[in-house]
This record gives sequence, C-alpha cells and structure tokens, in this order.
Amino acid sequence: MNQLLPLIKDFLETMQVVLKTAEELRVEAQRLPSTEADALPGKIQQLDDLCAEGLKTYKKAQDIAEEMRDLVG
Amino acid sequence: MSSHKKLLEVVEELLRQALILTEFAESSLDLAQNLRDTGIGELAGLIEQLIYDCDLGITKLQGLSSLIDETREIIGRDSGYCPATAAVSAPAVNSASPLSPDPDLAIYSGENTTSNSSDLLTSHYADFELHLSDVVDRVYQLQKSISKSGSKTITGMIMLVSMLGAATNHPVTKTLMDGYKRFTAAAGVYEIGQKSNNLGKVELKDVVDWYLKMSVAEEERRKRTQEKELDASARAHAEKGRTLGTSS
Repeated sequence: MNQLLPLIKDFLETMQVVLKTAEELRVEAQRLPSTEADALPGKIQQLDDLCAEGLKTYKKAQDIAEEMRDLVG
Repeated sequence: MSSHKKLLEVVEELLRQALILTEFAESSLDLAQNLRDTGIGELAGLIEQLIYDCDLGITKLQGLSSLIDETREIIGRDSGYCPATAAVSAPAVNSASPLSPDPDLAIYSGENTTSNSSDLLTSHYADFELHLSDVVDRVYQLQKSISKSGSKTITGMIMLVSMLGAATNHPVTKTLMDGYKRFTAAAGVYEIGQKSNNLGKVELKDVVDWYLKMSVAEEERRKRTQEKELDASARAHAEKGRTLGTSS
C-alpha cells in the first residue's frame, strides 16, 4: 500500500488536470456559437489544442492506473 | 443541407460531447477518490474500472477531436458561410498578394480576391491576437506580482507600478513597459488591418484605444514629473545663487 499511495496521489492530480481541461473545453465550446466568423479559426485551434492536451493527460492517467494494476497484481 | 446548418449541427454535437466529457471526467475523479479507502481485495476491481474509464474518456476526446476537425473543414471549404461580420471588400487588397491562402485558417467568402483579403486580415488579426495574448499574460504576471497591494483594477495596477517604477528599478517596470510596447505593436497591426479593409472589430479596437489612452496618460504623467523635477532643480539653483550672493 505504501508504494501505491504516491501513484494514487499522482492519478488523482492527473485526473484533476483532465477535469480542468474538460471544463475548459466545455466553456470554449459554449462560446463557439457566439464567436464571430473571423475569430472562428483561432477558436477552433484553441479547442483542438485543449483536446490534444486532454488526450495527453488522459493517457498519462491511464498509464498511472496501469502501474497501479501492476503493483496490486 | 446548407453548410451553415451543418456547422450548427456539428457545433451543437461538439457542445453535447464536451458536456458529457466533463461529467464523465468528474465521475471518474469521484471514483478515484475512493482508492485510498478501498480494501486490498476490491482494489484490483476499482483500478480496472478506472483503466476502463480512461479508455472511454480517451475515446470521447478523440470523438471531440474529429468534431473539431469537421468544424474546421466546414469553415475552410464553405463558400456560403459568410456572416455580415466576415464580409470584406476586395479592392483594398491586391489579388496577387504574396500571402497564400491557408485552407485550415482562411474564411472564404466565394471569390478569390475576397479570400485573399480575408487571408490578409486573418493573418493580421492572428498577429494581433498573438500580441494581445502576450499582453494578457504579462498583465496577469503583473497582477500576480503586485496582488498583495490590494489593487483591484488594471488602472490601479498601472498607476501603482508606474509610481514604483519611477522610484525604483523594479523588474515589474520592465514587464509593464514591454506590455505597452506590445500594445503599440498590436495597435499598429490593427491599423494595417483597418487600412486593408473596413472590417470593424469594435471590441478589439476598444481595448487598443483604452490602452493607447493609458499610454498617453502615462506619457503625460512622465512629462509632468519631469517638468516638476526641472522646476525644483531651477529653484534649487536660484536658491543656491541667492545664498552665494548673500554670503559674498
């Protein structure tokens, strides 16, 4: 359990980042309909970046969870 | 189906999926909070559940990414999607502009010349946004640097930092001055955009105007301070002259 605790902490922190990114994505997506046409490409790029960041963080969380699984056996 | 309608549908789906993703991530996080209190016997099951949840989350994000690509594609290829705000007049820009249209960024409105004009503006505003974003970062850093002062507005911050900067060589002064320079550059880019076209960006112009006013006010304040210093120096010289005259 001692070895597991840092991983649990790391997982929780990573999932908090995932949640934060997901919320940012939702907020930015909500702003999309009121975005002016010329600002749309920039806004879409921003959403794309958030998506990429979310994917990276989610994969990191999954890696940590797999590490936990290996440890628990 | 018109592209505009299709775009609205995609955006609606994007919103829906983004909301689902948030709820999903929240629920996974809640589940993960139980890890510490879960007995060793049930731990393996919970971890498996979390790995599975991560898989689903990743799939949802990939779906969102596809929707974003779809949105970008509609905007890129669409000749019909051209709200009034994006309508630009062609003659101001040479159709042989060296700027090549970027299918990922340009907002096309039908004719090549208009596309070029639009590209040019997109490029200018991208620069502007970059500058603006940079300045916002700097102002944020500035705010963090002096948050303890209790100053609640940017105006207050600038006044405070100006006073601080005048008296000391505090590093914040450099940040502030860099911010001004960035805004001046951004204002220049805005003017280029305006000359190229009459496309109105009232909200951005307001920001630029406001900052330029701040710059002018700062310059006037600096001049007044300089004048006061010169007056004081002249008075000191006069006083010294009188003292010397009396003593001789």
